Amino acid sequence: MQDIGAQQTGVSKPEFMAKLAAANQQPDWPAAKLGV
Amino acid sequence: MATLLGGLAASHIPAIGNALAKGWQQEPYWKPFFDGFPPVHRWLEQVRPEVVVVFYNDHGLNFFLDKMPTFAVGAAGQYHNADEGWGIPTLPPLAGCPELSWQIIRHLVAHEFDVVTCQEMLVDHACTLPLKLFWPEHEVAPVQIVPIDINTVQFPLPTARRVYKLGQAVGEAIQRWHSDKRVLVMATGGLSHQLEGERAGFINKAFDQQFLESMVSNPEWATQFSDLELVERAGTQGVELLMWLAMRAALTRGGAGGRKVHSNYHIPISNTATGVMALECLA
Repeated sequence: MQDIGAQQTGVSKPEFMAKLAAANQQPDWPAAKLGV
Repeated sequence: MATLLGGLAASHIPAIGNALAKGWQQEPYWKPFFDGFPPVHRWLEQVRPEVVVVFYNDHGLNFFLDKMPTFAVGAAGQYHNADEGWGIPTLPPLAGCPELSWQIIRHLVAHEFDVVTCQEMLVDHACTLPLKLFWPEHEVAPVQIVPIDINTVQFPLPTARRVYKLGQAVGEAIQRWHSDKRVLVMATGGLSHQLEGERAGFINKAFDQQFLESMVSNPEWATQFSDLELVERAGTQGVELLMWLAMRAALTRGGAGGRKVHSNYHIPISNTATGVMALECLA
């Protein structure tokens, strides 16, 4: 699927996989930090 | 009457089948995902379910785009897995529970859900892999199953509100089943991901976190969204979270409340944000 994702977004597979991993750096839902 | 024990939920990415077959559970890429399951394994050893109602979405194995039911309930004595083209190993057949299947079907139809009934039904990775994740020591999960397919593949999709009502009705059917069986409800799919188009690789961490929290404290939260609003927030395949919603709704008829046994969230496996959760009904 990562090959297909890379093709469809016009990047290399390593770049696509890096984008997926980078999702970890997205901000948390604010309440998640509070343990709500 | 039957006992509704609680609910399980897990992602169902095909690559998990390959990782299981090759024993990659401790590989750095896979470990954070597989580490989410042992606490659930311990809980399952305690509660000892006998029947599992599985909300999942077929991916073209049993239903193709030419015939796509919105809701379909399995009523077979046995469910065979078959090769869908992913190249992952085919798992042995799963035992059905026709008695509970027909209890659910009768209850759903009586409550105006016009479901497709399937006395023969192939089940794909979305049904088989989570069962393998929850019972990894068994060649095949030591439970009977009732698979319920919810269309999240071809638009129009059922609304989140409709799926929630379906789940509630399934929960009622289980609780009114004249049986001494111990029953779990399971959801498979999600969390946020999109496989195709310009947004391929889309993951929405904050939305997933809020959705997971809603499973515990505010189960109707996601019913505010239309199908397209869910696609916008969770991705075209992330709408599989509808299965989680059905599972959670079934538990609202399962007792005075629920307790989160365990949850885990990990990004990414393949192109997907993954989740696992176990919820216990409190009498």
